[in-house]
Amino acid sequence: MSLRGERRLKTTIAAVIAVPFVLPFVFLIATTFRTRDDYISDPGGLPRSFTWDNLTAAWTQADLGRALVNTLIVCLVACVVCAVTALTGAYWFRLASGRVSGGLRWLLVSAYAIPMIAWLIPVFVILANGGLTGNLVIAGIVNGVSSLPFALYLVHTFYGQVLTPELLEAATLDGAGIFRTFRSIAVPLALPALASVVALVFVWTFGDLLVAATLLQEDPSVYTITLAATSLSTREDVNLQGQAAAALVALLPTLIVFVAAQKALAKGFGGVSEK
Amino acid sequence: MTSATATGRAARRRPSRTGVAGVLVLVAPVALLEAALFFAPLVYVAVRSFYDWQPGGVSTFNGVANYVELFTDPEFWQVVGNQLFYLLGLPLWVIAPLIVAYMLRERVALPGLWRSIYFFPAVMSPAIVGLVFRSLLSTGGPVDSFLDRIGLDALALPWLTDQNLVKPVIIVLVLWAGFGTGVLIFASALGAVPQEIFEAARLDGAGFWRELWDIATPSIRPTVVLWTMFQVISIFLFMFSWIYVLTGGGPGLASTTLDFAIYQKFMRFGFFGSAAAESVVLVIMIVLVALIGLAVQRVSRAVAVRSAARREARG
Repeated sequence: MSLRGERRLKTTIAAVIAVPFVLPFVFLIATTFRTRDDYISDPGGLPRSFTWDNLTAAWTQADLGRALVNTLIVCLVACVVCAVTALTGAYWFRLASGRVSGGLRWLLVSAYAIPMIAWLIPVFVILANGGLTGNLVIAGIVNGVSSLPFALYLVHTFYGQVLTPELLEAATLDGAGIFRTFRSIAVPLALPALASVVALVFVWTFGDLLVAATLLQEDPSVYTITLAATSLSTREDVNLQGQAAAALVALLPTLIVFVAAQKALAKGFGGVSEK
Repeated sequence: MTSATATGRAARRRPSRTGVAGVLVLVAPVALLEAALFFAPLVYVAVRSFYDWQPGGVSTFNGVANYVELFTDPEFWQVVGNQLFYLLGLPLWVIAPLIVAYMLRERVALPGLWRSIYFFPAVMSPAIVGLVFRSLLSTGGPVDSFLDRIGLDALALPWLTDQNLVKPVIIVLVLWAGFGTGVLIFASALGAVPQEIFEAARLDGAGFWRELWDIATPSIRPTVVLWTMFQVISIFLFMFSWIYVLTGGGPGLASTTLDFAIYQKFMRFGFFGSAAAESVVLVIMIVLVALIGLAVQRVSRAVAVRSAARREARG
């Protein structure tokens, strides 16, 4: 096969594979913005009409504005909790040597493999006993901690590459204590890894259903966007197009993050492969 | 390799003087948060699995009754069977992104664009994406009506409501969700390999597939093993949202995973003791899977070292 032929063939295959990744979103947009009659007559065909009705109906019925604000609060708390504790923890594990700290780090990272359902329900039972369910800040903390093992692994791996013993030694020779070194060397160095952590935690928390469905399910005024959108599907008064509209609203913010922080996200996921 | 070990040794020799303040401020937050949310609740669940657990009421100790009940329950074994069935998707989830990552390595237009498009689902909420697919695949929904229209009405099947179809459909959707991440990880691993080995293979006249299996795959073996492990563990950890939204575990129990079954027992049916026992079983299963994975990793590393030695011996 000629080189140009190979290039054309490969590009065609790549484009064909891209179709199932694009089509669901095209369908989502088309379904949201077409009229009821148009949709019913041919749900799989091309739209022949345009309307904002589905979007406005879903927006008011599911109170999507409030749900978005709730989600952003949860995400903000989760990102801060996770990024700060992962950063300080990873820094300490970089400084500390010895079997105890190594074992502790292993334990804290391998908690990644504990299924969320196994720890979330008892947390729910305890919180419910204390009347602390339906609290956005607590939901944010829980979400942040659920990403902590991965974040700790990511930042620690990154520190392993950039925070070299020579650098630490030089800081010590300059008379900098551990907190001074942290502030002026470790934090600035960690910024790329922190960007990955924040982007990942945002995306994961934004898309979370399990924590929300467990801790926030009783009170619609604290519903997150995923909870609001998925609970629409059980309501009689909201049709499939309303659901599509809600889904679209729920996906748009992550789409923006995806475009803005693609590199950081890719690096974060790439953390899986660095070992 | 030698320089990494040397750095590691230097790090170990370096005296650690982080002090009490360092421990309290730097590592205590992460350790306490994880202890409070992961480890303490896990121990609590393990203890409660030996009780007739009634949150808010009186729980009585009943020994291994919850476990006996669980292991004699055919529904539990059906769910375990589902879990194993989903693992049949593993070759697909590993090999498909591997092939495409290799294909996008060279002589293709816009490789970055394709990788971005495939990566798209990784950032999307599985719950919301599940919602979209449920609409798309509903009986008489857009996919069926499209198939009808192009004359393939024989293929317009009840994708999510047929108990034989639903698991394969979910396997494909899991592929859809993880494919881009796999491509990304394999692509970056392939990029880190010395590129001369591909050129050498090409000069030897190796075709695409031989190059992929004999050259590319062995050169990134650790990444392949790691990604495989990651996918296996994900099937035990992260299926809840998909199942909750797509099928509700149905039809019947045909698509229920362990995490979804536990959620149902806890939150819907209130079988707390039984749910606690099932949680413990799930954790033990994941530990076993991880141990098997580590063993496989060790064996594959040994194989890689041996074949490298053989290659060297051959000259």
